[in-house]
Amino acid sequence: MSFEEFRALLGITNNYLEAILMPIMTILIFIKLRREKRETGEINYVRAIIGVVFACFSWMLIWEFLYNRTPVQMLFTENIVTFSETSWSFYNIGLSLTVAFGLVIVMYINRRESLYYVPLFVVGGMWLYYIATGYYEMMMYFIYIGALMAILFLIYTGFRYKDNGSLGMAIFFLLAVSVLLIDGPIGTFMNSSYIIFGVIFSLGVFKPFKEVVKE
Amino acid sequence: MIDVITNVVLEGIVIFLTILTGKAIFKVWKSNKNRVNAMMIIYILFLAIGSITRIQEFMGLSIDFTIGAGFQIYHIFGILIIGFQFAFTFYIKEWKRFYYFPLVMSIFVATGLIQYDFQYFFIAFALLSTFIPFALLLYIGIKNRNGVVFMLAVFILVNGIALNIRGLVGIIIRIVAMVILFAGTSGFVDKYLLIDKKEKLRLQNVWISKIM
Repeated sequence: MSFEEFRALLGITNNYLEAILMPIMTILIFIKLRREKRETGEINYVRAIIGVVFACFSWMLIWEFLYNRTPVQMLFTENIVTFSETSWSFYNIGLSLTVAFGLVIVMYINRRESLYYVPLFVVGGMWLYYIATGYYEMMMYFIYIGALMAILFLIYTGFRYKDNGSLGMAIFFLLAVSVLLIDGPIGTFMNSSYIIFGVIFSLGVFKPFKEVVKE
Repeated sequence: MIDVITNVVLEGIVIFLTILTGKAIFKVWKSNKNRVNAMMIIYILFLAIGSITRIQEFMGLSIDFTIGAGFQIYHIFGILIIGFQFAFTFYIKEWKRFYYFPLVMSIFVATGLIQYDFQYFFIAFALLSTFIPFALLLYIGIKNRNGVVFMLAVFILVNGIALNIRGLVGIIIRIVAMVILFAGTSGFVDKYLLIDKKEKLRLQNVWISKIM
């Protein structure tokens, strides 16, 4: 088997794994959330937001999988379903919400109450703006800048509060965004790596900070 | 010519009432340093500047400048007035999570006007900022028997309607709106209309017990 054949096979495997494992991870997070609610009587909002991020991510990956591996491409054009830099697509709706909720989690952990919904207002505004005017480029700036900010602040928050959730999300985001930016064989391997990390994270095994420091 | 003079005089009355209202709010702000009052002073300042630009327009001295495709001078004051209406409604309601909503939406409205001269966002934002603050402030005003908030709600509705009516009728309705706001801020409504019966009874009891 040549390297190219191996890469193609890995790409297909990634597609299937993403579409199957990501929704399972999301369900796992929500099961944990429900169990925690039953035990403590309170909703763990950080976990709930992480669950929403994973749900948005699953949405993106399912559409991508449907387009690449099923006859959905007979119904929709590529621009409507997969990642597009020039127009709206099902994938991009999930991507913009993923970035927005990534920023929401940063605001929530840092207790900036007045900023909790700002990323969602921005995304909502951009959707309306696109529907009204057809201008889309603004969204791409938001996705790239927002993702970068989310990663940096999540790393900062993770180390500051010794919070496993923040740091895990930061690493997950970093790997996921790098897939969008890096093409070729490295991109394929990065794709596999974020699936593996996602499984580790959603199972609750990722715990670099044993002691949780509360401020 | 008579039309111009009438319009200018009436707009002058609006400015006079705006100053009186601003003075009444400033007096309250000086005593309690409440941020809502500070916001209202800025809001009233924008209303006054809006009236001044209208006088200039009547006299043919309007500053005609457009940024981008269609962002004009009256849009600036329009967006600021609309934004402030939302801002102090959320502030009074203490909806901290919505504090930045007016700012974010204002940016989109301004971008739409600069880039495409897209007026519908501006109109939609203006409509929302008339009816949502009206409903919320009216509810708070009646519930807490607060004359300022109650009359502010009525003012927002009447002023919102007036800004959409051109000519003499529009100015007269704005004068009515300013009278309403002045009645609220000067304490007239608290004193004579929204009387808190429990509070009045409590004061009367204190007064009687003092005499006894």
